[in-house]
Amino acid sequence: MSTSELAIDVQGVTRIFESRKGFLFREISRTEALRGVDLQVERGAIFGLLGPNGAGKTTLTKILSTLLLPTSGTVRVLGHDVVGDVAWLRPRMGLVLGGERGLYNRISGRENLRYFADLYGVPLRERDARIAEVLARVDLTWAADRRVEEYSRGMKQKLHIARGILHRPQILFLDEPTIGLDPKSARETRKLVRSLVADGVTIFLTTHYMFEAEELCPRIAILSKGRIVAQDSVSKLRELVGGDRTFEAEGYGFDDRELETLRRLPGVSKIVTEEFGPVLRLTLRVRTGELQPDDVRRTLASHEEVSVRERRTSLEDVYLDLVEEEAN
Amino acid sequence: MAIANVRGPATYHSSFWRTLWTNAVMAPRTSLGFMRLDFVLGTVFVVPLTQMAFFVFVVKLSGGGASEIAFTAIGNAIATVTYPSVFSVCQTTDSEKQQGTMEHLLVSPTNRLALYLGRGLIPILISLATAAMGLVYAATLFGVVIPLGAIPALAVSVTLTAFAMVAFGLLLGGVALYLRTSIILGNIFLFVGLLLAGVNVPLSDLPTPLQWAGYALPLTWGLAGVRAAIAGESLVSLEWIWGAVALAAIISFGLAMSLWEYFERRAITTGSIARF
Amino acid sequence: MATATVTYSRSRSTYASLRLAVLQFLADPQWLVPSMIAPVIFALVSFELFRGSGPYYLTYAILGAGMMSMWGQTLYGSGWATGQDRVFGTLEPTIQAPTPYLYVVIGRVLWNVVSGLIGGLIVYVVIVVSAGSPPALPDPLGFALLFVFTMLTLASVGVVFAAFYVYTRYAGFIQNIGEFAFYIGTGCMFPVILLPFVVTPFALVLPPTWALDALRYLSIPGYQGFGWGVYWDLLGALGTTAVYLAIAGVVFRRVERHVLEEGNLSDY
Repeated sequence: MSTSELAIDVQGVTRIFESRKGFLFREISRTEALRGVDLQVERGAIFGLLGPNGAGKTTLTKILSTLLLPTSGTVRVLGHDVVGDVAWLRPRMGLVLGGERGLYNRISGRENLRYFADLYGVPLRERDARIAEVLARVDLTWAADRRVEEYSRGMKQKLHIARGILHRPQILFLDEPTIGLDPKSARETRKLVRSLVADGVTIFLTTHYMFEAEELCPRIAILSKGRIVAQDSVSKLRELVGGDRTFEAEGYGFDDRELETLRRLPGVSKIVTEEFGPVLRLTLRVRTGELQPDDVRRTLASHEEVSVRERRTSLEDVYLDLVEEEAN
Repeated sequence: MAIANVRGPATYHSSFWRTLWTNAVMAPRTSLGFMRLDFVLGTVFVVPLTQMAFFVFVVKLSGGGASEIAFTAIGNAIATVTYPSVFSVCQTTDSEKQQGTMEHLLVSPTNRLALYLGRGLIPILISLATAAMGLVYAATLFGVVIPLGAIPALAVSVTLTAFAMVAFGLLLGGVALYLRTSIILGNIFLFVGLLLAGVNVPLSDLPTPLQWAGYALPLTWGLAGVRAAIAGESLVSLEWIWGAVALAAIISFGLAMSLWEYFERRAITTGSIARF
Repeated sequence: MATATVTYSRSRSTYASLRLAVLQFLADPQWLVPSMIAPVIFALVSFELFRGSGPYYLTYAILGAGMMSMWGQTLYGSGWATGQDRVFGTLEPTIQAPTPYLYVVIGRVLWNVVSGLIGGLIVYVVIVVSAGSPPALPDPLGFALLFVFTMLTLASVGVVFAAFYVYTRYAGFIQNIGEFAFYIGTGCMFPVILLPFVVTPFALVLPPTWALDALRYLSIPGYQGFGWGVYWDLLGALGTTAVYLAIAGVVFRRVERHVLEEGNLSDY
């Protein structure tokens, strides 16, 4: 991928937060939120960033959207440096941080949008139509003239999204965009995100919902403790954790010898053991190949009531494996 | 440890003193102004000096002599207590609303008397320090004579004033449950006090309706006690004034409690707790 | 939705910010308290303080109360709005917008100038009613014009102070602690010349100091003040105001850079 094809190019970014306590004896504590992040996102794509709470997702989103300076490293968005080319970048990027805050509660949703349309310079002749259009796209037309303080959490979330796309940005940063939305609204938001990509907008999305990332994002990065632990397509990430097939075997009293035998079966890359009271669950990551659930059943044939089922390795499996590995 | 009690719901009870202590320690930390020692020092050392100097120069311009200057200096030394008492207590309430913690406080079964009284304890201490510093400035910079023998009575007057003012702050803070913010009210009463409490102008110089309004302010009575103590008045006459200050404190606190209860109901009805 | 590159306009952003300030004001009637009631109280305090101290006491009272009222509206109000942006969480999206935040602040300051002038008018009416007669002003029109100008000098300080609110969430407390120091420094109730000489250089750094001195030259016959006359005062006021406005852009850029380094835009 050449640099000009990249919407986001992050090289070795660190971010350290300092907080000070005390008056006479100042105590400075440092938190390393990002520890050498490298990340590349193609233009016109949806890129998903996953990670546990406190992994640094919002910090990275804020750096990318010019709201925070990196402590070290370089960040280029749409080919421009986020530190030096802020004036060029800001009209071209949209940001949705979401949450209960970030809106003027005492005025209506429409007035909020009008204010930001003016700050972004949405042409006057198309401003009102554009506001009506984005309100319709997030299904908020019916409440447009109500005060925001009367909005539910989900309605506020929708208004955040409407504001983010109001000025037709070339790149949109969405920090957990469907949080607080009911299933129907969340589905419509995902539809909206796909339609934005179809219009050529690059989307950088952080989320906790694995199915959302799997559904929307061809490429995903997993951030843990301020480090990117993996960055690839979902299928490649499955390979990374040992295969796109997962067998789950449940029963009683499996011993180490049987586990060793299972481990030696062709295609088995990894076995995770979990206990649920007396029940043991073995999760086997299996590479594409000949191995079948019956092969596992045969290995565990000496036990009664053994159930073995096969499913596709989910993004959640990948995520948990990688985050756990990083934690260990 | 079981998360839920399967034998039946547990009923916990926090004692009066535990609630009082928790609020005394916690409330100042939740409010921005008290989180930093430098701002507390600013309130104690800077505010009395600048406010006093300002009004003393006004008195000088209008041709006032030493007794008028002393009157103004003492008045402002005590009036600056408004910042750490009325102003800060109002601000604490605003902070609770902004941080969304007010709803959780109101939904808790905690003893309201301990809750509100606890919130006033640290402001009372800062108020005492501010008034003491103000009197030091008055004595050292503006020629106010404070006899050593008057100090015990003065200490009683100042302490009662601090209690009364914090209770008044809690009263205004209660209004914040209903209004979006109470800090504006705090600001207004800062200046109302300067006019009506006999800080810069003797109450007797004001038109009768304003005098009556002045008597409704705890600061008026607190200040009268301070002036009487400095003037070396007899213990009998001081006791009357102290009684009035204590009464003002009790009434303010009682009203604050009722108002909090009333506005708590109002806020729950109108949903204004979450608005700011 | 096709993507587009929008171009912001400074004047449009300033107007949008002014409009938002009006909408927020109308949405919250309790702002009537600082806008309407506070000037009445300031006027009464001022009137009582100066009552019976010479023929021009009414002028002193009007200037003093007017200035204190305008402090609340123009100077404090401008910064307060930024503080509110922190509380609402709107500071981040506003800073993220392409318009420099300075122009958003200027919009608010313009609204605060208007409401400050209304406060000034209330002060005038209350004092005249209390005294039973208007002050003896040799040049009422000049006084009124200079009063508006004084307001603008205060607004220039307000713009720079607002940057402080972007810089730290503690700005409001610092401004509260410094409130009376500012009253003293600008000589709103008494000529700065009455203060110890060491205070004068600090006072002269503040544009309203010059404008208020000019106002007294114009309205109080025989007024001495700094002793250099009304025209030098006006020149000083213009010069210092220009400096404040000129440095506002630099201050905002620096402050914005600082908060992006610190990452404290969402703290409140």
